[in-house]
Amino acid sequence: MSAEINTDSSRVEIKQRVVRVALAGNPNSGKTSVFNALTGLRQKIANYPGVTVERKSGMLTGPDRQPFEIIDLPGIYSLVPKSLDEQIAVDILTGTCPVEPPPDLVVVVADVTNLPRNLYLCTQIIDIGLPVILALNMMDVARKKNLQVNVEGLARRLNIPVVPISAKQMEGIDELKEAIFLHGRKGANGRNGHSILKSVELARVCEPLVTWFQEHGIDSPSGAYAEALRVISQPQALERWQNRNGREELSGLVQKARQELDARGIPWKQAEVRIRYAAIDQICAQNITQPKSTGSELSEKIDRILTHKYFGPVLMFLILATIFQSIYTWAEVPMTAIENALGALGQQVEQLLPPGPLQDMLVNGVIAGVGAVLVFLPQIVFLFFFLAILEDTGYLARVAFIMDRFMAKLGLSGQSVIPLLSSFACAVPGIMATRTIQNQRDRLLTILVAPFMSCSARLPVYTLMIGAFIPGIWFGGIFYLPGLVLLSMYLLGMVAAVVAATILQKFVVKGESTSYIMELPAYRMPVWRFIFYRVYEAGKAFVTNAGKIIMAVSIVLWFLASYPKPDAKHQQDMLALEKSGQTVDSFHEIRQSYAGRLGQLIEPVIRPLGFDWKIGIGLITSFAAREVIVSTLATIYNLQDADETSVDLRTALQNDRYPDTGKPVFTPLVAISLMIFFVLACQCMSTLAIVRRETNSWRWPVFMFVYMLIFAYVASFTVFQVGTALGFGS
Amino acid sequence: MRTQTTDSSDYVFSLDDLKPGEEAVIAGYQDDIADEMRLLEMGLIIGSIVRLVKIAPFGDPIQIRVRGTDISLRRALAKRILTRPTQLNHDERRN
Repeated sequence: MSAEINTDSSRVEIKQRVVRVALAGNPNSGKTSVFNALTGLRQKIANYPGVTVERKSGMLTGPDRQPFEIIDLPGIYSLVPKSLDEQIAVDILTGTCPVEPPPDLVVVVADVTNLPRNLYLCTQIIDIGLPVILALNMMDVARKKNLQVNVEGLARRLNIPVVPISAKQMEGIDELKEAIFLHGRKGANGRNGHSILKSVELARVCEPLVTWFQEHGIDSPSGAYAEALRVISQPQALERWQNRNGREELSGLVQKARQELDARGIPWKQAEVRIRYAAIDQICAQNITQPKSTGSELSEKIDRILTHKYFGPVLMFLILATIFQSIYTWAEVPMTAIENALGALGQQVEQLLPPGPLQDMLVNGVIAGVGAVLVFLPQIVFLFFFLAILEDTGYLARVAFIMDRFMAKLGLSGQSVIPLLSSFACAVPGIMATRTIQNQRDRLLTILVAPFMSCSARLPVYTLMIGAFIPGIWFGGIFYLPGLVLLSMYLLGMVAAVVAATILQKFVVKGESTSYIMELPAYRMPVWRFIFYRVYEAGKAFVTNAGKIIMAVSIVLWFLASYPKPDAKHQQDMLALEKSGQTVDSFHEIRQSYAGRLGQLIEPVIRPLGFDWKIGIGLITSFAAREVIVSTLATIYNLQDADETSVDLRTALQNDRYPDTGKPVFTPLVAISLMIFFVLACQCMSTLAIVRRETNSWRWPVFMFVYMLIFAYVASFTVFQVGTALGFGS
Repeated sequence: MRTQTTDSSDYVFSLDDLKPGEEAVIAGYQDDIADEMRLLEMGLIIGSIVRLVKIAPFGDPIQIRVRGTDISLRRALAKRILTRPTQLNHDERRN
């Protein structure tokens, strides 16, 4: 056999065909872990063309340098999609996806501790007629539970290769790779799998439909039978065929089959599920030895505390509070290091390059701007680190479980909790995650309130303001005032979402909320390797995506802030004034620049919020991305003192005074007002762009921007005016 | 095996009536439940044993276990899932 492959491969080598392998599986089957174990960091994340569902793929090199592309499909429970990302996965598998052909091989990842439900999907995929490998994941957990699986028997019964693995322990991964290499190359010849659907009683009812499907593109008899059962059982499955030829004929056949089933007392909706589960239960009974359930598994014991009636919510609050507090305190160390390094880099550039526009742009535009954002990377890394742990341990689902009561009261579904929690990292993936919400009304409502969650781009703004203006006071040695203020900003966003959701569903988004069904996965130890991947991915995405925008905006800003240059006479006048010891307007350069003029234009509107024209510039530029206000301020304050490259932005803000009154520009009250504005306003073009894409209309992003701006203005106005009246203004 | 949606010969009550720790057998679904298909695919078919694991801290949703998986769903939905006591039809679900 090897000789044959060798001669064959020398020919193939000229133009190696990429073998495409799809990973399919239930959510929580550990599919992504298997994907990570197979591909490591050789991953590519893109979008399916035309839609915003993520396409995760990675390359694997087989024998004779044969390339294998591993595609991580969105998680599905069955071949009948309930949401858009499920739709993509199903379309690819059934060969009805316009942008992605069906794969050469499907690896079905199944949670072995939960085999029946996982086999439901696996047997459906077998029936399509695609070559299938079954990867029995979480074998380590099965061993601990004393669960015995007859791998051979299962493979024989389904007639497919079955590979026992544990992605977490990196167990069986090599065997899985070998199986992929072996079967992936067979192409259509690799078709394997026995259909488990056998029911004489129903076969007769299905016969006309089976014939119809065989005449309309489904070759394999088992595939046609499976599809026949599906269109009988599920209205959505029938809808998938509605826009094709002969749909009326099909509807008629389905109608007839349903009537026949009804006449026999079989609920047509359950036709497929019942037959399939009956067969699966039989297979499992023959091949799995399950120890008598003691009823007190580890997860249940942990849940006795973590979702306890009283301890649960308290612990949840403490866990989240600790996370936010530690993001703030731990990240301080690397942040200082990055700040220092960038200051040193700026000085180096100044020494290497002659003074002039280029040096000016590099130091004050590029290094100062990008540096001011890069410095917050540690916090983003910390946030994603904790978020990944919460999700991978299974605790995130418990947060949803505990919080659902409130979500229901808000008219949001419990499924909204995950998109909303994701929005703490960034509203863009959060809004994309709303695709998992089946009810369109719930989905729209979630999209509209998601940007209130404090995303990681706001964190730099909070950190800068808190670090500069909130005193580091400890209360009782436990609570740290800056940490508490940070937590309040996050809470404010949540409260705003609650208020907005209540108002919006009364006047804007009407309709009924549906119930939600969510799996509570067993608690698992997180795998640090996988946590690392997630953090790395997030950090990379932040630096590359935000970095590009910020780099461009920084340079544009530097230009707006530096030009037009004041004429020579004005310069001399100012210099003379300075030499004679008189106070000069240190921002005279930026004031008459393009940016300064823009800021002064909006100053009358934002002054009641406590913002001066310099903050006004920041509000405008931060529309590109919220954290840009930090680089804007860095640029503005650096420009006034060209000799100092490593200006500590915090000190600069603290020392800034209004030239007319001599009062500080920034006070703790101004800082809080500014933070509140950033919590509530939709200062983010990426968010608006993704909303446009998801709702397929400009109506919702425009609406979102306006209503959030009104929220923000009113709140900041109230806080600043009331605060000033109460004497907190200085 | 009877093939009706609900088996009227037994005492039928809703899943929501279970107390934490109690088990019952799925007997059917009331009227049209939008999520019936998802529930069926997750294994809540007639004859499946379901256990109410616990009620969420604030009283809703509930956590149920069916075929080894823990699923949370709201009480409003649970009210429409019909169940029978396990003991009465022990033999029937064994096959």
